[in-house]
Amino acid sequence: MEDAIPISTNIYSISKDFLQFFDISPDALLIIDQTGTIIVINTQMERIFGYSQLELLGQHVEMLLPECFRKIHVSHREHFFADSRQRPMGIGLQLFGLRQDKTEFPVDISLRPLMLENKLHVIAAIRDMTAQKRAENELKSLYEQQKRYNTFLSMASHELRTPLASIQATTQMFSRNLIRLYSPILEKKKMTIEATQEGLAEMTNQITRLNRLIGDLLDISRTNDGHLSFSFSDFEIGELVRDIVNMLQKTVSTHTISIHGKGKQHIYADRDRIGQVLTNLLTNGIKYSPEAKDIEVSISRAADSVIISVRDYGIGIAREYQPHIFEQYYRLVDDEHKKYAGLGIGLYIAAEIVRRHNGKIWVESEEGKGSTFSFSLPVDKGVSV
Amino acid sequence: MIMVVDDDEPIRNSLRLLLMGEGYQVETASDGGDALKKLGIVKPKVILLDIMMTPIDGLAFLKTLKEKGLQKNYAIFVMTAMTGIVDELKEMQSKGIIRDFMIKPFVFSDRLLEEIHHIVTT
Repeated sequence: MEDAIPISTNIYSISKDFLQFFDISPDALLIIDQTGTIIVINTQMERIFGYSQLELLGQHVEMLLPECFRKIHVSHREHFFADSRQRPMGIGLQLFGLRQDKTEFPVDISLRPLMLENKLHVIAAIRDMTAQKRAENELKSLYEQQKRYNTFLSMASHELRTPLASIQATTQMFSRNLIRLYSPILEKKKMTIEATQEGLAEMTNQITRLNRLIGDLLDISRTNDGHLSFSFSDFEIGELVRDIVNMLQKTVSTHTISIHGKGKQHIYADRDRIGQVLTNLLTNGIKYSPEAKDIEVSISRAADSVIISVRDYGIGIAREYQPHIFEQYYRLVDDEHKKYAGLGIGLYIAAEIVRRHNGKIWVESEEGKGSTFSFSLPVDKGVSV
Repeated sequence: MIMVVDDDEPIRNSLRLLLMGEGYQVETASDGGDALKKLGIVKPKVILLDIMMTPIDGLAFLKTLKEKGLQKNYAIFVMTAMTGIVDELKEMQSKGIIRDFMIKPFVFSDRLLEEIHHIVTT
């Protein structure tokens, strides 16, 4: 035993001076005896824990702990009295207190042995760490956000550069081929013509891709400052689905997109934006199912909404990632997903558009078996824009 | 024949077309593993190799070729955006593991196309 402070005061008649001295501390202070009984507290104790002095004095100190820690605390306490030494704050233990209203809160505690009437006691200082923990968590989440944003920026430059590099190589080919095609002694003329024709199609593809990327980048900056604009009208959703599917099918030879569901469903929504959501889900489905060839779109009716689902038979999404995929800048970076290009903002924008229509968006997926992305839109005019 | 190894489909495709326009047969591979597999079937004289690829990257591909003593069979041109590995690439060039390297983004120079032409036709 070391550092014990000898105090000759009778603990049941502690002087006013001593209590005032106790009260000046910004931390909650309490003294307990060997049985764990609370002998003295300061006013901060009442404030932090929400008990009155009368409710605390004479009670076991364990009442201030969450239920699950009480038993172990008794043995910790006995251990401390058997080999008591000073224990400072901030040694990294995750400690919790229990308020009178049964809410738990993070605390830091320092302990010090204290001799009162020749008996060993313990004086404890308790600091409410709620605000600090909240600040720490906020800082951590800001840091995470910043990290994601930086990854997003480097991904975005890579994503923009790839189609540009492709267009650059293709234009180089055009200029070389132009000269070669006029040459009277050109060998393998057929190959050159073929490459030029294919090159034009490839370049058109890449320009479309650049356009979509830049559109997404614009959309994300607009959602961030709340300026994503909408233009609502009445239309039949099935017709839009057919339009989008027909348009996409023209550029996709690897997959067959089929439409299921009957009946006409009229909704009041932004036709272009809903088309954008569907295009995003379809291109994702195609992208993440390189080994499969079927994509199924279904239109179904629930009580007061219409549900559009896009099903693929691709690589799927592990359960632990599923809650995050609609978050901003979230991109799966496991080996299976790393090889797929993308900015990690398409689903976020889609979710934002659906939310602005008072709809819902969700995913059901099993790794290795595929995913079904669905969104619902209200069929009445319950729209808040 | 020329093999283009790049995991970015648009780049792979445009390089294939560029070289096809020059009159070459072109085979493409989407990563180091795919390239190793295809080298069991086709015998290109020139390989255009990207470095940052998943799952098998360009450096791992080169290491495997070297272990098998096969790197001498091909003129390998590395294309990479990773400026941090230039020293490593220079060393590989001096050891004859690779023929040359280009830092992305790059345009095929006439000199490079002539060099490829020379390798393929001799």
